[in-house]
Amino acid sequence: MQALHSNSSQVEKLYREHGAALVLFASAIAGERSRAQDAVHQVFLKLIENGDLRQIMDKKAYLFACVRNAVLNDAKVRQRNVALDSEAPWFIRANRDSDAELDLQRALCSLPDDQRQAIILHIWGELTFSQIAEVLGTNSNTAASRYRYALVKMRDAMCAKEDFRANS
Amino acid sequence: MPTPDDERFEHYLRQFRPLDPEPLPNEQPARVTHRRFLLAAWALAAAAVLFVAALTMQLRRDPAEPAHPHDTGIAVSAERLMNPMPLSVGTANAFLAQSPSVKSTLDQMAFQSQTAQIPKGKRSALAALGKENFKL
Repeated sequence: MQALHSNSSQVEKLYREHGAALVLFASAIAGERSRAQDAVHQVFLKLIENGDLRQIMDKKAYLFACVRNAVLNDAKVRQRNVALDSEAPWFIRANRDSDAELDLQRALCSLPDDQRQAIILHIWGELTFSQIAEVLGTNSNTAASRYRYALVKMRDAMCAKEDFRANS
Repeated sequence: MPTPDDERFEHYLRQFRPLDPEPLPNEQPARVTHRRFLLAAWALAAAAVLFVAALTMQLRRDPAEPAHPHDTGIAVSAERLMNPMPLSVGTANAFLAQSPSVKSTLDQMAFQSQTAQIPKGKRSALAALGKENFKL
């Protein structure tokens, strides 16, 4: 009983810490934020019910991998792929520049799936390339390469719209 | 190799914060349901204990119980045996509780039918068969 409560508290803490990045990552795969949110909830509720996180060394990478599997399984069950919705908000809209978030989202949506996942995992998930490789089922070099390609493409796309240096 | 431009662009990207997730569904209700279940289980257990206690008290306050508390168990049992009440699990338990030994209780229960009084105007089947004259 005590162990169950302790596990539940730990899972809730992980949700508070990584929930936003996990939903963003799931949205980048699923296309719809509602489906992404459902997949993340599904993972965490399963962990609360019968998960034992004590044996998992890298909990953050494990959570991203679980969410990715949940989204891909859901897509398999539905037997359809939903196009990414570049208009539905993924990021907090800051008052200073309301269009910047939309430009960022459009640039992300224009990337190939594997590159989009790599850049989200590294920038907003704060995962190392080794952890990204574990989540995506590849090696560290490939993960780093995907990330570099994505970064260059996004910089080109976003610099065409605005000069990010002015904001940095 | 990451260039300074890459690092500045990464820094710029990190300024954007992803939207907060929705709270986990049914988190609190699940806990409340669990607590309610525990409370219900405790209430059920308490009710069961009370029921058993009440049943025991009822058996001890049976009308066939002797008026004088100093009567022995055997006397009580004998008195009960004179009573033409049907033998039930409850009365058997009462016999066992009040008799000095299991053997004596079994003896009393075994001979109950023979000691039972037959109402006036009727006779037992055994008596009728005993007086019958058979002509072969």
